[in-house]
Amino acid sequence: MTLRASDVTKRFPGMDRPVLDHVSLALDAGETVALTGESGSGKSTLLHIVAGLEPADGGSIEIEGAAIDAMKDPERATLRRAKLGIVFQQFNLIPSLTVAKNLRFQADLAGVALQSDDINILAEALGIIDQLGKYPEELSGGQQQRVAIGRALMHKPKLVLADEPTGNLDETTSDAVFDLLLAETAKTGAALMLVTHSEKLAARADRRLRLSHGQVAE
Amino acid sequence: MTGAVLSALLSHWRRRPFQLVTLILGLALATALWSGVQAINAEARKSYGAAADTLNGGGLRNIVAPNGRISHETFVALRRAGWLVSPVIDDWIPAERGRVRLLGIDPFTAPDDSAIGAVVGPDNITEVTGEAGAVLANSVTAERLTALRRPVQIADGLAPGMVVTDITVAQNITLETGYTRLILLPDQPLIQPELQTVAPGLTIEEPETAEDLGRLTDSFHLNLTAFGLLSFAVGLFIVNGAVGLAFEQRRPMFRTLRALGATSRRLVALLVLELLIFALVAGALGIVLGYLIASLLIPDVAATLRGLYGATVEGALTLSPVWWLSGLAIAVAGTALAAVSGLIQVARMPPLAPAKPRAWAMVSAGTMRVQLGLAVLAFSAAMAAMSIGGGLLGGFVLLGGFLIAAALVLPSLLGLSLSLLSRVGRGPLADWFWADTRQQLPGLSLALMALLLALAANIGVGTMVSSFRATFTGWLDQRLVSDLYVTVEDAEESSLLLGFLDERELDVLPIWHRDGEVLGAPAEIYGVVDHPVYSENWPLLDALPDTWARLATGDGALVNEQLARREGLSPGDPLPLPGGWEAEVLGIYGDYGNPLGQVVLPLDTLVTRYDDLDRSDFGVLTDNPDALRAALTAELGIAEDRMIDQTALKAFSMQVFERTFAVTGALNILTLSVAGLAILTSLLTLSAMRLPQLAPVWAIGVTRRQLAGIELLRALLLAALTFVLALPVGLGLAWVLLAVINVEAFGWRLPMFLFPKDWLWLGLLSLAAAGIASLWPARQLAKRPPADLIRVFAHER
Repeated sequence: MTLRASDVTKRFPGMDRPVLDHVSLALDAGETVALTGESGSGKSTLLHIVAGLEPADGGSIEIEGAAIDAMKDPERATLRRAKLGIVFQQFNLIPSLTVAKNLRFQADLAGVALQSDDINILAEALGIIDQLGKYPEELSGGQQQRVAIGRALMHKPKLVLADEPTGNLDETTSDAVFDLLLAETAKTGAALMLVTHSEKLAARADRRLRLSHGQVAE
Repeated sequence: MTGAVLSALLSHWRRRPFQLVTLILGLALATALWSGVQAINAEARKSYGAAADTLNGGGLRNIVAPNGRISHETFVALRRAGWLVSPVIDDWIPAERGRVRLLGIDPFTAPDDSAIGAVVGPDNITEVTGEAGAVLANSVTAERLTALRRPVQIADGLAPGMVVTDITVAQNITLETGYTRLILLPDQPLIQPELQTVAPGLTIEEPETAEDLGRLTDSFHLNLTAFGLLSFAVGLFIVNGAVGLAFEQRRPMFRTLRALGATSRRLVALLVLELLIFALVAGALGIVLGYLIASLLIPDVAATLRGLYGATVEGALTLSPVWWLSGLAIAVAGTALAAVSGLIQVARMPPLAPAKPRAWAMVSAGTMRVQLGLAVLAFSAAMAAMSIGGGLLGGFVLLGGFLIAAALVLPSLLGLSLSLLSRVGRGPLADWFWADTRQQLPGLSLALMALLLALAANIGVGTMVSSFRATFTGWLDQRLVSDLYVTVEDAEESSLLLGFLDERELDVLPIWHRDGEVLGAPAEIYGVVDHPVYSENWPLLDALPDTWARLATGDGALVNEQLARREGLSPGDPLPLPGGWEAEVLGIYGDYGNPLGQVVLPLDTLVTRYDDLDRSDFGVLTDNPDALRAALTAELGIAEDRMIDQTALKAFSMQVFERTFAVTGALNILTLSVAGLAILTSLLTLSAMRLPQLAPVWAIGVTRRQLAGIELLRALLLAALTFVLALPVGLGLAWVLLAVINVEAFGWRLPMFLFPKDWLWLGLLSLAAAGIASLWPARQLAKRPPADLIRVFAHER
């Protein structure tokens, strides 16, 4: 089991009821799950809790058998570095590094030894082979998101978390980027948890989960 | 409409109170240092004016003697011959915290309409005359006269450090006979005998004016003003940063306001109004701070002026409305200077300009090129000032141009240094660190420029002062060759002393001199005996061969550097001397701290040529100065306070020296503190803007604590690099101060010494300033709730 979340609860100050109310879910290696729901339903919050970016108020999260809720900040950082790949809606590349350095950044942080042509192979697959020497600000939104996907996959993580990865892209680009995300995740054998508003994209996942009123339903 | 727009503009500051505090504080500090220095200068100038008024009796001429003493008989002879003169005793007497100037006047003959006449008149004439006559002083000076054992009457119109009384009372206090000078009353008889006929050797001297002292101290005040201006510039860097950031942050608001119907002109006018309000508030705060700074510094400044020029300045401040208004004006002008580029941008901004704030921290290669171009321009102006100009003003243009050029070129040099350093230490975090630091550079460059200026000023002024100290100490060691210095009261005591010393076979070095005019300016003429102690110890800057041997034969003279520079004298030149004779210049010696020209002749020549010498000072060579001192007191009755040994004299001289430069030390620390504050404010304002860059790195797996450590390291690295680059700038500044400004201001050139230990200390201090300044933002980052960082992924920043 790549991810097991049990009875995860989260309440924000000033809200009547918890945004996540005893949510449980599980993902196997290579499995793709789409998480949908209304705006403010807690999709991103759940994803952030799974990534160890935000603590839950209750419940437990295990990634590859390691309980992240019991970990301290440095341990969670180490786990994120090595086992997770995260793709954000805003791309969130590092503006001061070139595309090539952005691609290998997390792999280097995780201490994963890359082969000399690993970056070229992935960049080729992502269609950004000609952009390696450029800086993020010189790329289009679609190109930036391809780089973000590449960065999330370069170190071959066990779990990829994508928060509305195509939310800022037009439909054509969105389809192309999503295809890439699915294809490249499949190549690494990682599990993919995807937060999206798009029913069309969600339909292409192995499973669809809908989050509503703090509860998750298939 | 106007109210709504203004309210919208001001809402920015309500949401960002810290930014507002930064802006106000930066401007207030800039104004404070500037107006503090102005207050000190104004106070000093006021004191010069008061002193000159009292001393010269309201612009009247004086009759003086070359040896500084006119006998009562000469005075009587002049009066009998129809010369309307009034006698004056002008001397220094001991008081608490140093000395005060004692002015003894004759109330019956002093001119009524003069400043002196105004002080002593019918109201108090009975109190200041007679055996138990009182002395007059202002209330501050009066407190220093506890040891005088005479009644003191308060006369607040008197200059600070000045005591006035009846001439008989003054003679009783000083135990002197005769007079220092005679005031020449304005209405003289039409027919009177020539002065030289009645009193040979006496001359008429033009009145001392406030301008004379002012001119003498101008260079010191110019130095203070330059420091104030530098601090003001450093403060303006903070203001420029805060205003620039606020303009960038409000670009979306400006666009919306324009779209809603506010004209560009109205927008700019309201922004100007907003800035004017801030400038006035900050200016008022700065004036209060400036007053406090001036109050703290003025005792040191007073000591400096006393030590360097013998000018007496009141140790307390009185402020005029002009000072307040000029403080506010400089605050407004500074704000305008700092905001002008932002205002032009707003005025030119099209209504549909991009709403997203352009990366404020970014700077284009074009901007960098413009900065480099301006740096070249400033440097060229500096060089032109050096080659074409000259004078004190030319020196300061050179200094200003050089510093501006160095500040402008700093970001490029730092960028280059970072590129070179990035080759060291590989790894993902190292790569990111170097790349990110380069990207941070434009946002921090203003603060770093401020730091560069502060450090360069510190190194420059520090090197100057330390070079001065080293030279001065060495010079004192060489020049103070005698082991004990004795001042005798009269000729009788003089011959007793010489006999006493001769019996004990001790070498005596008479320090006889007279004041006179050499090449049209006041100068001191000294005589030295032929003794190896001079040739072995006295340092010469430039000399003919066999200087001392030739001096002993009586065919030449030595001159001090001031006189040589002022008159363009070189060894071998003829030197016209009082009495219509010439001596060949045999050598030039350093004479640090003396504003006057000085000539050294063989003692025999001095005695032969001039009979009006001051023969009261002697130097004695002895192995045991303490024993000799005790013997002189016991056997000859020479008072303790008329003798000083070499060690005490050196200690006293060094004490005067240290107090003289205490004010520059204080200003150095203040400027460095302002630069530290500039770094703090820049880091704090940048820290909020940096979240979008830091959050992804955190999300990928770098802890907040690590990120905070990296931020701290970055600030330390940039401060260290700035310090390294400030070193040559500071040394250049020191060279300009020593070789250009000092020569123009004082007439002597000091050798430049290097003090690596001081640099090390300053380097540590700058690292500490940067470290302390970055500690708070770094701590904020380490403690920042994850929710803040996560928000980056959810909203467009």
